[in-house]
Amino acid sequence: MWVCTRVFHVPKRGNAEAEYEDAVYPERNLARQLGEFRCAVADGASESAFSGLWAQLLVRSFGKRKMRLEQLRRLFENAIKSKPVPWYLEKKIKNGAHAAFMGLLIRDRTQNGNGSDTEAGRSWRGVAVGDSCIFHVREDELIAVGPVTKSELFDNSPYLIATKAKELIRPRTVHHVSMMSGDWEPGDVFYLATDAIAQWLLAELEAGRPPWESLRDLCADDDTTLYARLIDELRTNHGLHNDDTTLLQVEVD
Amino acid sequence: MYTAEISRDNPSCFLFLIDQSTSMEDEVSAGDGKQAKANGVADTMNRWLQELSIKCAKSDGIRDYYHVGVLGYGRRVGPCVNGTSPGKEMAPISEIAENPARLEERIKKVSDGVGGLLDQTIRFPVWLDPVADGGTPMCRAAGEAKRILTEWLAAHPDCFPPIVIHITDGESTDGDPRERIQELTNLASSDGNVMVFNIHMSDNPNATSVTFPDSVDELPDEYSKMLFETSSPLTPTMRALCSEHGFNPSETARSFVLNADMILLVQAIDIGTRPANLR
Repeated sequence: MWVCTRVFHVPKRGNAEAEYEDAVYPERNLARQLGEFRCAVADGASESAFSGLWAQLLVRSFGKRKMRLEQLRRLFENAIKSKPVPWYLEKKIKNGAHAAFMGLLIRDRTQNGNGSDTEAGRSWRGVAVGDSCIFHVREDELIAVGPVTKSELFDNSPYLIATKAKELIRPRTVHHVSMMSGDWEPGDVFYLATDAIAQWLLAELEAGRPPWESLRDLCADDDTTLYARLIDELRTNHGLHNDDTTLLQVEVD
Repeated sequence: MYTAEISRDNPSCFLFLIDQSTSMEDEVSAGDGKQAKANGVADTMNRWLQELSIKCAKSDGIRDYYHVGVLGYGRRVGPCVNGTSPGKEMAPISEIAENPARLEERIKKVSDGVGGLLDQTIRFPVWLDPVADGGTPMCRAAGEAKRILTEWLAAHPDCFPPIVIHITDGESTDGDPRERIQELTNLASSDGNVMVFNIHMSDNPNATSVTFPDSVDELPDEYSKMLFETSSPLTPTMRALCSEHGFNPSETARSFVLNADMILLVQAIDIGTRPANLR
């Protein structure tokens, strides 16, 4: 399969780029022939310290097939223990870091050993904790969305992956891991989105204004400032939450 | 109203008015035991400042979502936490966090992971020491608060409105403070009026506490009625927080508790100050 990605992200208004706490994998745009493709977005919780680092560890390890939570936690602990910190960070670090996560695995096994195509070989699987979302779009029609399916269901306390083993996913445990799956067809588009833009996309759908065509145009445009301008406009005039806002477009063919 | 985003570009503020009169030496119920009201208030304030500092801390330092002032009134009226000073009664939370009066080392028992306990040393910042000395110049304190907040609002006209937390145990000794406190709630940003939260503490273990009343009907005297009348209506966010703490205030309830013990003091401060619109 031919995979083509576009990555867009804007930090929350008033924050510097270095303060951006979402994470996305792959970080750069990609266009490549692949049999399997992994991508992810994560949203580091604003109230944690070092949550951007945690979000990055999560998406990179998923992308590189190294998703071992215990190893990641040790890596995180070692990274932040390396220097003395003021009293307020000492306590904050003890509270750990938290992030919402959405990972996507797309497979193309249509080329079997005999070289013949099998439709069933085009599959995808998604795994999510929290309110970062996947949208599966075919010919400007939404095929699947999750784990949040209505704009009104977003709130300030999503389930998150924690760096502290005892609160694997707070406040309860694995019940809040969402698994999704489906088949894809050549020409399909997937969007992975952190909560603010995901909520807006759902609200547009609910209002009878499917955003896919304009989103496709935006992703196809060489002007990389278009996304930032769109987000700025939505924050100013359409109530988009002022939050780090990340969108990953994946086209498969 | 009360929807402005709280950010470093548009911070909000908390101003505490703390009664430091001699009667604050008297003991109040505190869980299983008792402690002097002044000690309990100082402990509560130190913990609150610690928690707000931690809440605003990120890996690169403290973000100034809030400015904080703590004004004591007793023998003297003035700022009483390190990091603030006369003439600069409100300070960004980062300046307060970086300037505790001292860092005490306290031992905390933590699990060793195999069924036992380990002693762990933690650093506990102290900004405020207990004071219980003098009368109760509530009018002067409210006048100072008005001056401080007028200046602060001039510099932050679109902020989430300042919240004044007033902690007291007795009647004013410098006149009727009703008008002075009401003048505080007449101050406003473009997002709404200043809110005043009155917390009355009692050392009488038999006194019945009244939480978030919506009328003067169940209040015992003119003094408590004055505190009720000068308390702001609870916001929807505060009412939701009340429910978390097991209270069930009506839609017209005021931000007022009467005859609070230490537990109710901590709950009331949490309800009055938990951030809702932090970005």
